[in-house]
Amino acid sequence: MTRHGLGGLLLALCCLGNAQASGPDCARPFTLALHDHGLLYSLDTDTGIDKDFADEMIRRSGCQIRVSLMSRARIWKLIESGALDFSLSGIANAERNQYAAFAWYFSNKYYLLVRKDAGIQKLSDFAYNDRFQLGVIRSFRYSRSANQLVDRLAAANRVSQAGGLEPLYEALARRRIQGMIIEPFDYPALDAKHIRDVTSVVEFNDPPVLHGLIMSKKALPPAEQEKWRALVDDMRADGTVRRIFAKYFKSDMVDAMTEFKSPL
Amino acid sequence: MSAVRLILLPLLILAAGLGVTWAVWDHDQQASRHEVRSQFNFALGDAVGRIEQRMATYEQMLRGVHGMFAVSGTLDRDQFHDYLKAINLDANLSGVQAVGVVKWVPAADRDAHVAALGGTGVAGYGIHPGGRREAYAPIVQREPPADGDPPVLGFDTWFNPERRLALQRSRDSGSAIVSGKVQLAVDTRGDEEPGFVMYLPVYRRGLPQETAAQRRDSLVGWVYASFRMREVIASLYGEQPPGISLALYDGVEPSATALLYRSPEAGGSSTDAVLSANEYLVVGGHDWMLSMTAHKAFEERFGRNSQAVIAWTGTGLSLLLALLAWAMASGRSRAMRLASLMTRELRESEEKFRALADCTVNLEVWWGLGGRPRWINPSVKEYTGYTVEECMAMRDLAGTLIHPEDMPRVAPELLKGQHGLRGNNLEFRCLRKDGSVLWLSVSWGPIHDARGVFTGFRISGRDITERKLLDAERKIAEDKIRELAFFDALTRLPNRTLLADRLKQAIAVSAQSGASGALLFIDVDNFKTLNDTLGHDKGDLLLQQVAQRLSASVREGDTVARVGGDEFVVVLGNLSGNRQLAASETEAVGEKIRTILGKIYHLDGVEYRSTASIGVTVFNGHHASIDELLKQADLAMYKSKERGRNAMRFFDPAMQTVVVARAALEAGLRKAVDEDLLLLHYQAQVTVDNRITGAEALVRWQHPERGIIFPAEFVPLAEEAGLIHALGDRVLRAACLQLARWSVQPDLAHLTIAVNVSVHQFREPDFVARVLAVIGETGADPRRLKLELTESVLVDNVEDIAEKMHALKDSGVVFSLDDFGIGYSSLSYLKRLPLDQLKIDRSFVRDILVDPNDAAIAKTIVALGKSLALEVIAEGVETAAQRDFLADAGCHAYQGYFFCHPVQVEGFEAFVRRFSQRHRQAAAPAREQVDG
Repeated sequence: MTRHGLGGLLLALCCLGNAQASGPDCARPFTLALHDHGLLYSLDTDTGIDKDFADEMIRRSGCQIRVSLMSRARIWKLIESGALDFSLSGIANAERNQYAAFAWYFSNKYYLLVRKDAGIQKLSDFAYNDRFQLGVIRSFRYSRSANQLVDRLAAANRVSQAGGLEPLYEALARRRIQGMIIEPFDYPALDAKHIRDVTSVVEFNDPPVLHGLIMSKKALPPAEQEKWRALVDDMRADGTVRRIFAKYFKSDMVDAMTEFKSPL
Repeated sequence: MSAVRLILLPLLILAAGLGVTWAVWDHDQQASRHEVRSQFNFALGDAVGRIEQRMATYEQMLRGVHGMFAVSGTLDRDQFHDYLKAINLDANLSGVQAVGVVKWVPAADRDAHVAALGGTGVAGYGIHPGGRREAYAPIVQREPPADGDPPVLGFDTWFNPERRLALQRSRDSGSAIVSGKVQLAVDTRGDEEPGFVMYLPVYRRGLPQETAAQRRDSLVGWVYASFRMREVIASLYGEQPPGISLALYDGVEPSATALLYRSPEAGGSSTDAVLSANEYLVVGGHDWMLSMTAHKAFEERFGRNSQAVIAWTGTGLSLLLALLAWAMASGRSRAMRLASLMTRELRESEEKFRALADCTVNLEVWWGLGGRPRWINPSVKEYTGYTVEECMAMRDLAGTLIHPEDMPRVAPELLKGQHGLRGNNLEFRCLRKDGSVLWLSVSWGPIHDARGVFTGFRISGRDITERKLLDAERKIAEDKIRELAFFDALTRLPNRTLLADRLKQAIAVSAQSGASGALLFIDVDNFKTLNDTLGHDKGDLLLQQVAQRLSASVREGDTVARVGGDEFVVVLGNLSGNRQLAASETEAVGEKIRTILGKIYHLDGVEYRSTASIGVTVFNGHHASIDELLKQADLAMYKSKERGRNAMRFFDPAMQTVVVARAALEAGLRKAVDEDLLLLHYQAQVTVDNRITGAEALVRWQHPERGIIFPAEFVPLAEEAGLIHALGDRVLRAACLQLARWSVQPDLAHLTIAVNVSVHQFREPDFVARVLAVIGETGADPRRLKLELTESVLVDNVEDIAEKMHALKDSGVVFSLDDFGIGYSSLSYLKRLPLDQLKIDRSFVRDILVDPNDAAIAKTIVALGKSLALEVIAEGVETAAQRDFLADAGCHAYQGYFFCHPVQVEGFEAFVRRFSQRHRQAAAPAREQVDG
């Protein structure tokens, strides 16, 4: 509470001190890319958390932000090169931190979805199973143990990559792959496609990972990054984020995802 | 050990080298695989990216077309045509088959639509396939225009499931959607070229398009672009990367029906696939699967080909190292072998040199392989008397020189030498030219030439004649000493020491074999007498002859030993196991011995007859010790002596008790002598006129258990036990003390005491001194002391006897010769010895009245005494008649029971007083009695 208050105060001070427009600089139109990923954004329905978030960003900042759809792999590449300004729900790692800055707005754990007939009840079972094919989305990174698993299996050529979730679900249903890594926003699809019936969930014993607004360091100067971060923090502070999530998740899930300690 | 090192070390190095090679090879293998994989992954990602990019480009192009329609809100044909011309499809966007327009025609609007299209100049336009359906979505325009039958225009895309799905999805989402695998409308020939279509919806301008429902309501139609996959892929890559083949499938499963594209190489070389992976693409909301395979060519391009090089160089290096190590190790051993060979050659040449250097001292003979000498050093002349030329010319050098007796011993050794064996310290005799004997000590060894070939052997010899002589002398001396230690010098028989050993052996053998043995104790009878009469040298001769006869009487395994002056022991072995039989066997032997020993001996001109007493004990096993056996035989021998000599007696256990009794008696006697427990009894000596002149002192032993023991029983015992001197001393002292006591009593002072002196006592060198000392100490009057000697004292060394007697006589001691008439003495002694009295032995007195011989002898003795001026006294007078007879004969002194028994001193003194009184009173009548 205090932190939010202080944050707001700091923002206000910043704004006062700056004597500039409070909010990000809208000198040019920005680009933001979404990727088709479950509840975050669905191409078929043209709805999703990220879309709502993007709309809110546009509204708050008053800037022109052009939203497009592209594969996650492409998004990271363009963020890195600076051709894309923003994307959403990205997680950081050492490599990404070099070219991207983040503003956190939710966190979640990762899970391993496995077919029941794959014979995996816990993570250590992978040692005895050499027929397991894991499906991942190209350029995706996950929590630490999940990353370790993915890297280990990739070295053994037991990872099939995909451009998005849909083919992975198909492949999982048709036994082309035996498992994939999922997040809470993937759940509805599991029910819809009857994947729940033939699968079980294995937990990675990792803490929840922060997801946030991705800002291209090449495209945005640090000062602007700070402004956009402040905007995101405002959205969190005034419950906008919660509201958006509440449209798609039950309240306990919403709490779990939106309540997190922001690292300083 | 070096052999192990020789092999082990190189092997280890080889193993290590191979191990390192393998490790490097394996690492390289891993790295290569990793490299290939990462290149492959890159190629895959690259392919995916290009496809996605290409499709994005197509979408952009379609959006451009769409944009045109979105602005106008209608599907104007001419506009479309012009626009497409402008964007110049052919050059930039190869892969696009056609771009066209699909009109949304609900069932109700069908007829109007057909009519309208007919009106715009499309001849023969009709929606095909025909039939009434809910809705239609015919192609209404296509650029480039296509001719064909059926015509493309009017093709109802809604009828086709794949197309319809894409049309629906794009309508609902407002996005460009790609269809599944379709056969393009233009492809009517049945080529089956896989194709797909991208649809982008066009909505009526001005209407809301937020939700799917709104979009449906405002739908006008779609713009589409159709593609042939082959051409799409072809437009991606200018050329395939080497070794990569890919296949593209519609959906997520690689089935034949879903195959959209396959690269040319993929078909043929599926066997050498190195790596393969699948990736799922999402293109225009539609799933495709890209399957990429890398083949050998790819691996060769990107993989490292250094594996073979590593393996070969590594193995080669390891082998080289191992070889080097082996060469070094073996080189060392080779060097050592070479060194040893050189040393040996040097040593041989040294030996040769030394041999030559030795030639002045030693005898050197070098023999060739044929057994003939090939070189002899000049010393042979000094050694043997033969010159070198003579030796070399001999037919058989060894046979000539070596002593024939030693040849059997030496020949085998020479043979060994011929076969290359070494030897030394062989000692044998050689015969010189002059026939004398030379002792040689030789050593021999093989000779090798420079190449190590065996060419013969050499003998080197030293003269050891002197040493041999010394050795022989020493041996003789040793034998002598041994003899002395174990053999009796005189008879050459085993002595007591050796006997004990032999006896022990005999007992042991008996114990082991069960046979009996016998011990014979042989004592030459009266040997002392012989020694005394004939002399010691004759005695020695006798003993030697006895020894010879004994040795001849026994078997070879038996032992004859001399254990004492005249005592021999014979040990018989191998007798019957049965005791009785053994005893008979022994008796036979014993009798034989006795007989032989009884035969006449010729002692240096003197004939002598001797006998032996034999004591025998038979033994079997360890039942008795050596000492016991000897004691038993000894006892038996004594028994045989007791029975009169010249006899053989077997040991009887009963004898043992005698021995024990004897031993006890001896001990008692010793004690009695030591503690002066012996008594003196006195027997009166009376004259014819009834005067008591004195007494004979007779020693008695008061034994605590047995009572009085007479001297006949214990004096021999005392003599044997060596107690006689002490005994004699005691008796003499007691007698002298008594004399001293009587000297102060007037009525007894005249009495004499006669003391018996044994031969042993008299023979003592200090006898005279002793007697004088006792006389002096006691204060007795020597004139009253009478020493009674037996005739046996006179047998030997009369001069000594006479000297002693004279010495004592000078002091006043009186001598009496006891038991006269029955001893050995020669009458001539009588005149040489200072005797005073003769005592007629009782044996003559006993029968003096009935045996005229005894009477005559007694008379003669009296006459003898008279003529020699010696007193004569008769012993053993027991009757008055005897006394009278003797008185008639002229013997005027008597001793015997008639007058007095030997009594203790008090009794004697009483008797004296009484006797004197009686006869003093009846002096005259007594005389008359005698005459009457």
